[in-house]
Amino acid sequence: MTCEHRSELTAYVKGEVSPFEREALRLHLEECEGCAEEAQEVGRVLRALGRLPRIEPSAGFSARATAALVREHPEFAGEGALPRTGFFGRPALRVAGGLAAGFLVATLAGIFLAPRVPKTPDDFSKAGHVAGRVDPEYTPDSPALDGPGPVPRDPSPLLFLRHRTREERPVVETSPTPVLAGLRCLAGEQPTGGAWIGPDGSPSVGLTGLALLAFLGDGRTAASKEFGRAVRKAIEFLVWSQLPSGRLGEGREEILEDHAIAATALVEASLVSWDPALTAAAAKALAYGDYAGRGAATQFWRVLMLRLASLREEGGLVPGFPGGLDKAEGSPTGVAQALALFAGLVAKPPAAPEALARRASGLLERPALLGTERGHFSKNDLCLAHLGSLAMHQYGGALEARWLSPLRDKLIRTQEPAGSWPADFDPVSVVRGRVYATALAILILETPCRYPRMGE
Amino acid sequence: MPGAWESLSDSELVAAIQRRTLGAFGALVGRYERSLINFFYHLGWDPQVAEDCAQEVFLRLYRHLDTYEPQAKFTTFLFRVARNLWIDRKRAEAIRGKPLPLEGRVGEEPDRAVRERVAGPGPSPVEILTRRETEEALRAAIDHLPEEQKAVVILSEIQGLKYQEIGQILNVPVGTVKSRMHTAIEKLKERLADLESV
Repeated sequence: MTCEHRSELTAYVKGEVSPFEREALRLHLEECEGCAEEAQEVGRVLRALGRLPRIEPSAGFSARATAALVREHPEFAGEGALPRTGFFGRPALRVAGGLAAGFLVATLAGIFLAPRVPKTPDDFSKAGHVAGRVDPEYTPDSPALDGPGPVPRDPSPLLFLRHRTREERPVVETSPTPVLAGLRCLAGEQPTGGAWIGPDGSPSVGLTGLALLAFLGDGRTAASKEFGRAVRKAIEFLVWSQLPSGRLGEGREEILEDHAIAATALVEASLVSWDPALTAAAAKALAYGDYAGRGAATQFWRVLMLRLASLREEGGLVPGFPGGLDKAEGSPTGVAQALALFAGLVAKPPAAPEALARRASGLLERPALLGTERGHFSKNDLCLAHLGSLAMHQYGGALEARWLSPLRDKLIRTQEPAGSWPADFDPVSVVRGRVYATALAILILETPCRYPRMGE
Repeated sequence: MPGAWESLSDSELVAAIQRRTLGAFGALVGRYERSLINFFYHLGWDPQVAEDCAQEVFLRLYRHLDTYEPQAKFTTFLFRVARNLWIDRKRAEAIRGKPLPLEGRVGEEPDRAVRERVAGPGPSPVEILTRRETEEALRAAIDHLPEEQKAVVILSEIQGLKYQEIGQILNVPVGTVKSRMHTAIEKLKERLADLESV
């Protein structure tokens, strides 16, 4: 005789029943031998299905699909460049990997009680209260660089570097500087909740990470006079958005770049604050994610955050900069060239000088900002301009100047009177908006003073 | 193209495609090509047909983007288009007859081209034989399922979608998905009963 629960067993084995039903069926299986056997059989079939082979797209599938679109809709032909070999020749989708092994620090008590990113302005105002998970009086123990007085004891090389650069800057620059005007624009666009808003109207961890890095890159901290509040609110939002797994925000598992940007910002903020709660959140963000096979930009952020974390010698973030990250040479895209150069420079030990020279020359052949007139903005690539600048700065010398000087001139020429950069400054900023373009433009301009030469 | 495409959400990419940004289309293809090709591959076991269908889905997507609602999950929209395309194809085949395959069919000739592309570590010869036997029995069993049950099994077990999403893709209640899945698993179980290696 067939048990009446039999038809529920597939859903039960797959976890597609409510918690109440699950418990009821679990108890039933303890008593009904037939159903217990049946559940095992169902499990065997499901496992066999899971082992069925998957196929990989043939080489050039993406390029063929794109070409078919252009043939069918010629209006695409004039918009943006045709795909370069390589970027479109490989599948971006990866089977989600496991979480990184082990967390490095204990979780923050109370911080993860409501790990949901608010989706609407209303949710977000409520989140301000939930942010009691973050101490509302939170003030990182960092020096105020805006005010007069000596710099307090702070072993962070980042803060010393940035402070020194800011001290020197007024002699050579106008007021407000392009960076200062840009930061004021970003601060003006920051909602009270602390997160900058993406084009879909939701708070964005990626944009918030970029904007926070722009403030930090100018030596601003939560204790700064002019932008201290903006920095503090941004940090609070990022910590608030952290899921128990360490992931920042609720993006698709396959898309790790926003998390990587925000994690880098938290790592950097923790380096200049010495706040233990922030360090714990940064370490957890750092430990999250399987980066194998991710895109070059995402990999670049990971290398940067790991190298930054290893600047703190007494630990607290990661044990040190791991090896094996310097493997991207010969890749066809500009960002991959930048990654190969940067990873080769900051690795311990660094790559051979000849290899580095080859990578730097290769990167120079990839101009990142070609359009300074509105009609030509689609040729720009702010992501490449930014990551390429970081790599070239680490390389230094004449090649750094040849890369950075034209970018700097073009950015200053295209800055809008309000301090922002155009929302359509490159194809991605068309989608992600003015904050994306402005934050990246500021980060590029800040390049010489953001990081010491980390390979030295 | 900008490396940052990879950071955009599906709805952001769709918005960019609607502005006729070719790079965003390429990024969307890159993101879903493997899923889509495998969806069609497990429906028909023909890699060439799978790629043709996947390409056609990407073209159809662009034609129908104005009906996509950003609040909805993109994969639901994607697989709905894919499912409709497969139904259209089966109807056309019923009228015109099935085109002759270029490669050997399952059960007639080992599908070397596919097998060489299958990812995974190298198993021992005994494991190869056992796995092959199981695979082919499973393929044959899946082929015997009615189309609506086959779709549920593939969306659930190959694509890893939840019953709720499958219901939205197939435009049926979750209860129907549940019962189709159960019936399908029962049938597969019967057909695989003699196979020890399952």
